[in-house]
Amino acid sequence: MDTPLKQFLSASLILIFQLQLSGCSGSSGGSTGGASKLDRVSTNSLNATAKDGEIVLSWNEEADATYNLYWLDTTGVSSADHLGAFRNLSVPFYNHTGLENGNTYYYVVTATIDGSESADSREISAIPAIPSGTGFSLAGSIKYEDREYGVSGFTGVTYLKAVRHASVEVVDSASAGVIASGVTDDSGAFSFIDVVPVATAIYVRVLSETSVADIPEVAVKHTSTANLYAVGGADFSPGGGEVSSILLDIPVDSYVAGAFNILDVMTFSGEFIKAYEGAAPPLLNAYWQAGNSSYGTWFCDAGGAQCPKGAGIYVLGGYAPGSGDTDEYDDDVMIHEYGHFAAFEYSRDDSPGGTHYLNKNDQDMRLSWSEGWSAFFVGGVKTWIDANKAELLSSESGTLLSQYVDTDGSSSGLTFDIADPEPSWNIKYASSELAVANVLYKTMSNTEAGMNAIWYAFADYIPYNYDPSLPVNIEALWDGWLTLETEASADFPILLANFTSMEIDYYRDGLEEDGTINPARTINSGEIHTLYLNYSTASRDFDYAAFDAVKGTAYTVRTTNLKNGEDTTLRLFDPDSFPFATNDNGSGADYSACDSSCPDNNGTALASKISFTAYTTGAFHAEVTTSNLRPDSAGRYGSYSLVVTSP
Amino acid sequence: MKRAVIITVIAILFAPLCLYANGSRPKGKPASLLSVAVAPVDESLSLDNVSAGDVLELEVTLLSHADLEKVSLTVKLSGHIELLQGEVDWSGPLKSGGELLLPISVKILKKGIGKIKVRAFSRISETVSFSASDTFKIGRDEDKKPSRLPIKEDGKGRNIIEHRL
Repeated sequence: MDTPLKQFLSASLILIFQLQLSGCSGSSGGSTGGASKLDRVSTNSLNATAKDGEIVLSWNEEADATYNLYWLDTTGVSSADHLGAFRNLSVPFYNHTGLENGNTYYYVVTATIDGSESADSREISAIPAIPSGTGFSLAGSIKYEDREYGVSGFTGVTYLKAVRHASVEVVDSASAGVIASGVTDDSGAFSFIDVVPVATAIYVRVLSETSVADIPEVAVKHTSTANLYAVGGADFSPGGGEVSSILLDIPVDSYVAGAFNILDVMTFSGEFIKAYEGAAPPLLNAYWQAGNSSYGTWFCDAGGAQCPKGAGIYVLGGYAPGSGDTDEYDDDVMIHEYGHFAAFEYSRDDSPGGTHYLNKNDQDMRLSWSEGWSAFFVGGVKTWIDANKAELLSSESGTLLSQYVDTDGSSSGLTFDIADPEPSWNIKYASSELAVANVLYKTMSNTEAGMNAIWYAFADYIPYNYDPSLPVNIEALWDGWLTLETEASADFPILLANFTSMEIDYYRDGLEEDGTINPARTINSGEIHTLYLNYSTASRDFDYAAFDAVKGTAYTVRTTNLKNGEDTTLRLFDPDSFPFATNDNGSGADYSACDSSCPDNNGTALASKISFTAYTTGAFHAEVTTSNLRPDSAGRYGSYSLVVTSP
Repeated sequence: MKRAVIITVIAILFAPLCLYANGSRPKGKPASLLSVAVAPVDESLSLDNVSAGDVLELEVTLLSHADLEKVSLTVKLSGHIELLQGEVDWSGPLKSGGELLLPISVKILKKGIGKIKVRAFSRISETVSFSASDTFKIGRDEDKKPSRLPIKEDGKGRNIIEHRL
């Protein structure tokens, strides 16, 4: 494996020392379920410094421990091999002498406490050589311990994952001054070349921010102080011309590993966006601390009472079982919030926010779109990650990519599948966030255009081409798609099927063409009418229906069973085609400025009703179209039924 | 008094709604379909003055936001408290909007630490489940909390909080 350091050395004839790292694949040394402290002991920090014919190894000291150092001249060294070992070492360092310059030597270390030997540390390697320079060089890799989850919550298994694209610093331990800065690569590896030695010991630390051009910019900060997190390894003292190898593993029980999982989840969510947008997303600040139960988990596009440190994603944090909600390890929750960030940065989001429930079919259309998008975004990101960087997924093998898991924290837990909504909830309509997520997920999965078409509508059509006076909901996505597709397009029947599978009916019904009074159909109470946008004429839909009335008889005409956020307005015509009555909402309420306190799209609140006594006998007509006074919570399209009753 | 307590408990359960009422509106994760709270009936009770031998009346409030065939509720006590009266395990159906109230009374055995944790859970299918929990603490917090980390300066002059392995 070519590390940046190795590449540098290959290109340079000045340096004599060489160093090669191993164990950076992300799989070796990962601890498993129910890991005790002993399982992780001595894996946190392992340094190797190569000299002339010798390698100096050091690691973190553990109380009351002795150490076994295993080594080989080939990779794959393990405590199970019982080859090349220095046993029962009482101090956390060893000077391995008598080595041949130019050969690569590999090491793992274990600690023994009360007769129990820990798991192996990650493997480290170094190449002894004759020093020539005055500066020292060092390289290594940084990983954090992540928690695996499945549909029943955390499985108890943990893995070591790379801290990718993060800032790394070499620090003078005595003065706390930074003497060199760099970054980790995609495997968590880093290197420093020819650093000027200091008189005292140094250590390496990693910061909870990405800092690489063309990589999503993310900073994870302490909720109370808004400071970045840093994790430093053990002190060591390299001399001029020496080359050191360093492994840093940040364990779950350090209370800071969560910051690096947040960093990685936000980073790969941004990498997903980059794949479709062509450029990395701008800076996202995430705020988290162990034990934070006040702020989160949510996204704010500006600072405020709920986001006191400014815009960003606020993540709830736990610090003990049952104490706090450990959302820092709930990847799906954080990807969901990144979806909101994406909507703010690349699209438009008019959601009023607030508490929302998956099983509601009558939500504010702005809310159902915003939350449906973010619920889908989780599945979209994980599908992309699975295809491109599967090692970054934290879910248990066999867990569906469409499965959302919010592990059981101190306040709540939740699991559901966006691809297969719970049947008993009877999920449907554009006013359901789960229905919206389902339509998007299916479209990504089963159309040729897939995610590209979704991203076009989301990040191009909606912010730049959609009428800015209209609130954004799933209708905007439909409009955007229909600028790409025609009825003749191969994907169109699939798109239509995806919408109608959730009973989102945005297409002309079987009762068209009925755009004029004469002739008009006779009202049939069982018929379902659809109001839609006629794309061939770019005109709105007007439905007309006829009913016979007898002079002196009282009648009530009303729209019922409104779906998909429809808000009807009703107008009646007499047999001479004279309009004599009109109504928006049967209750008489005016919801046109309801903003964040709009009625549910429950099929009745926005229905229309006119009661009248016929002043002549003949064929009357009802005209139904979408109300111009509809609240922002409602839609322009949707369906309804028309009923005429006479007492 | 009881009505006031119930109103208070419900207000706590729906606190997020109130938080969103002004200022910028956070966009949060989907809510569980269960909400649960445990609180003393006497809301004026000062936990600082609880002494050994005192009896504390509490009420567990469970709300459902869906028709659920089976919801399980457990109450766990830890620390220096003893259950005097009340159910610590309940299971049954709950209708959407349905509320379950469970009174419990506990005795303080020793001044110090005590915790009453309630947890509700419902599994609808292999891939769909919900939970909710709440904890009422008496006395000082027994949970181990992370130690305060030192603030240092990074290479760009910014304050950072540093943990050493």
